[in-house]
Amino acid sequence: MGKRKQSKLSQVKENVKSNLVESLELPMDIMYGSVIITAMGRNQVLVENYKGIIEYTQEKIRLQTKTCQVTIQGKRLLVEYYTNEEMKITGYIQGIIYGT
Amino acid sequence: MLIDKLKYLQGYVKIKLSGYAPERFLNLCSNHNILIWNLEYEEDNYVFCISVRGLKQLKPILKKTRTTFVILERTGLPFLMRRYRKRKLFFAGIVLCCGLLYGMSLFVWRIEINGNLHETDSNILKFLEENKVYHGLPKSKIDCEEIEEELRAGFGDIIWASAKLEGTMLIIDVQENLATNQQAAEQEGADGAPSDLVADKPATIYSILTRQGTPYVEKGSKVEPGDILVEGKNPVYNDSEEISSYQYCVSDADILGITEYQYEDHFSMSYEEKAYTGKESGAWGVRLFSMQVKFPHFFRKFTDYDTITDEYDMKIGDTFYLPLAFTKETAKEYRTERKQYTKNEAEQAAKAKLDQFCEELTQKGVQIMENNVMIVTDTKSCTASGTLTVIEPIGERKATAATDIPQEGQMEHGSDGENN
Repeated sequence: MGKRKQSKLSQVKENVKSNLVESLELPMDIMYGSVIITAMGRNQVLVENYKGIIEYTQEKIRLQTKTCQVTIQGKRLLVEYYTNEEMKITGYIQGIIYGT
Repeated sequence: MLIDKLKYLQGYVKIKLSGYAPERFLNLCSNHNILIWNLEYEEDNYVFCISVRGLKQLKPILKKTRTTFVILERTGLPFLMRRYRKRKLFFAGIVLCCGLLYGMSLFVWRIEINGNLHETDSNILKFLEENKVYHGLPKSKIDCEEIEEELRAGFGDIIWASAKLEGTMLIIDVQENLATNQQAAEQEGADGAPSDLVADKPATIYSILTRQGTPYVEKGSKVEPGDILVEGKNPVYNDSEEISSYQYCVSDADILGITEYQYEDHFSMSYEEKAYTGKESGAWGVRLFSMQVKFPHFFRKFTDYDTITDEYDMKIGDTFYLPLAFTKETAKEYRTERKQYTKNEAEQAAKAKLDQFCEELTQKGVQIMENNVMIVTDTKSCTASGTLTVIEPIGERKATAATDIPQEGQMEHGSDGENN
């Protein structure tokens, strides 16, 4: 019973937050910490707001973000630089896949 | 670009990472704010670049993730310095060079003067040297405004001067007033003292236009040197047509006279000419400050030669002159050859000389009326002789002799006093 109440409460909280963000048009990346992926051409991807690297091979880079995992597939992938906030990936990009 | 340079200055290494949890290692690095770039995955290993400072912080992370690394490449200034740490003289040389360059840049090594038409460069340089502005003077001792003032004060015809320092060069721009030069010359006699115009050579007066003074000659009259043309005093007559007194003035007139110039030119039909053989010998020299070192001509085997010296100033950029110059002395051998003018050549040479003489006269403001010069050539010599009849301004200034006022004038004066 208590558990149910708690989940209900968090759902309400979530709703209030999303309503607030939508009505005030606040930036999503700050409020939710959602990932920003900027793809330039097919050779460059800039990822912001990620948490860490889970897997890295030449064909696949798997990143953990706050809400989901992002997989970047391609060939000869290279991390040009990465800092706490952002990372730049170059190479032949074949796909950006969002996982759970 | 700039970031690359900074990375190079601080030094970085390329390392190969392998072990149990390399991904965790990467995440820990980003959490500890250790920058990693050019990350690559190569056969179960990660290869990436990391700064030297970051490398020193890696120890706890390596322990935590049970990974090890191998250094593949070292790049950057710190490593370069390490490699050459035993070559102390090399570094001393670099430091000395920088020091010398800096030291040299504190002095003026070249003075450039622009805009002077009347005064020569060397004249102005000499003047500047007298005022303690010379080559090799520390720049801090130069006061541009003072130089400008001195130049304006020292040279009457410089009406504007500007001095500026650029690199190791002192640039002086001047503007001269050429008009005042002529006016000054004209006003030479006009200091108030009465003067006459006197003939300076025998002439026939072609035209006379008197502005001040009493003319003594008229058109067509012949004059000899010393004859007064215009006298600087005007007689004042009284009622009985007698001279009572003189008004003295500076005579002023434009007098053109017809004069004759004797032209005589004589030269031998044979002459010597330099024929360059094409043989040259060069010798280099060095000038440091005012010290000159010349190397002798090692391979010169001839005795008759012209010497041409080229000097190359050492400079950095356009304006940073150094007190160092290389000189190149070239000796060109020649052989003197005796040659004979042909009749035609001789006449042409004589005519060219005559034309030049006429040209010089014309430039002086002389108008040539008649040219009676004969050119005669024989086997041994060529002679051009004759007279040139020209119209030219004549007359030179001479102080007027003060004449005593005639007795009558004095009486007149006295009677005037009585009347008053």
